[in-house]
Amino acid sequence: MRIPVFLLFLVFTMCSIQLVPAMPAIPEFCCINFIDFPIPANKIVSAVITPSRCSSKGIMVTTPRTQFCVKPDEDWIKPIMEKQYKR
Amino acid sequence: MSSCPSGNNQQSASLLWTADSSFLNGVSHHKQITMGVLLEYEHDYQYHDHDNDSNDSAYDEDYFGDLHTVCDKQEVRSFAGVFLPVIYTLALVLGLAGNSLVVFIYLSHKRLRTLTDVFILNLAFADLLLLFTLPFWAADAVNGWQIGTAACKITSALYTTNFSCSMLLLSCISIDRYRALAKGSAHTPARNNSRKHRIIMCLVVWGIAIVLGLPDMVFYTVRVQHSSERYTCRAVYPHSMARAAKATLEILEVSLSFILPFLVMMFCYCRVGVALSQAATAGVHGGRRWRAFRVLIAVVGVFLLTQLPYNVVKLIKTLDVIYILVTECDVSKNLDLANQITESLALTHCCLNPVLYVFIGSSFKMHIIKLAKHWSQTGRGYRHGNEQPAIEISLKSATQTHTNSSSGNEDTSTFTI
Repeated sequence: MRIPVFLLFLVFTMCSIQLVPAMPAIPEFCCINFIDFPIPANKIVSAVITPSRCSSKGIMVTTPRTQFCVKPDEDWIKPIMEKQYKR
Repeated sequence: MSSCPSGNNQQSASLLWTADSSFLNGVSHHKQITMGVLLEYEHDYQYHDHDNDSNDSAYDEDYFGDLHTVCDKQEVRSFAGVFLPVIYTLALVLGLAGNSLVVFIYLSHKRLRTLTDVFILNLAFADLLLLFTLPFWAADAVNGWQIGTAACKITSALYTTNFSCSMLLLSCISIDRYRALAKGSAHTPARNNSRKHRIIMCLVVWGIAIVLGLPDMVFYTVRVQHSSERYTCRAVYPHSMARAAKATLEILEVSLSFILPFLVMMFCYCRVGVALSQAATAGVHGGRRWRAFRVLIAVVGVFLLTQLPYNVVKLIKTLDVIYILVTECDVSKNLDLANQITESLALTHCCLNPVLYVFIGSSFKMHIIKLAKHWSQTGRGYRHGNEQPAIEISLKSATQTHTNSSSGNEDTSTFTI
């Protein structure tokens, strides 16, 4: 008698929840610290959103010399990302 | 909008004030806001380039270190490329040997007398299916994913389904053991042991596990890595999914795949332990009681040893998503390394299940001994090389149990032939 009640609870609990456990791929890069100044649009080679498994969401901006981490909510980066998606 | 330009001007101005005074001219261009801002940006970036060429090494290092904000995880991927294939190969060999032997013995010789036997057989099947996914993950860690999106989704769903099924079956086994003990005197399990009842129980368990595996069908896909141009099978969440939603999923995963099974096992096995203690006063044989205690301690101990570190690391990563605890690149990389190691440790549980739930049981040892005698007497060489370690484990256990028994010695001599 106990087991059916317990399993009924399990069914109800687990069916109402979406889980995503599995072997996680290792993110190739993440953003932890961010720059606080804008980069001129003509200097940007590429702008890529960090993998979703990184704990912080960020945008990796590549310039001819180096790479920067930018917060996605910066005003100056939004039009650049919008243009990126249109391509 | 009006505040943004002034904010940018202040930032640019502060940067310029820390540098050569010749760049101060840029600030004076306020004739047009738009043109002025662009000119300041140009000067700003030219200043950076100029600084890289200068001999001011102290400032250059500070500048470079401060701006190097991208956290590259190539080291973690290189470690995974070596570590994971080794671990997966070992788990595959040992797990296939143990679980295959369990399935073979149950299907060919041992009757499914109790509900626990049914759960143990299903546990062996679930562990075998889980182990079959390991070669794909090992190949993914070394060469990347090369067999398409459909295989990526199916392998991920199989892994999650069988991992969840394994945890659920462990809970069911502990419940059934406790129930059998609680109703030991009243022999009413005729209804519970009916064939229909067993089938329903197994369908429920597998149904739940399949439901838990469905999200992987949705979220897992193949993506090309930006830096190495290599394909990888990974979960890609929609951009609209908020940070809180991801953290909630992780917390629920820890709760349902570890905390819930652990609480169930602790409750049931503590009750069994108490009953065993009470049986001591009733004069039950001490050796048999001590062996039962040893089984309980081994089962709970191995579960904690393999699953607790992995879930602790997962919880830390979840808290990091919520509160952004990690502020250093090295900490983030070490966390990924810890996740790889503890997850591999968690996987070893499906290799240890045959030992914990089957081989240390006395009835199963008797079946193995009979089987070995049968093979040795008829001279058949059907035993596979991988099965030898399992039989040796059983033999050692038998020897330890019957140290002073002549029948034990007799069995030992049979094995050596």
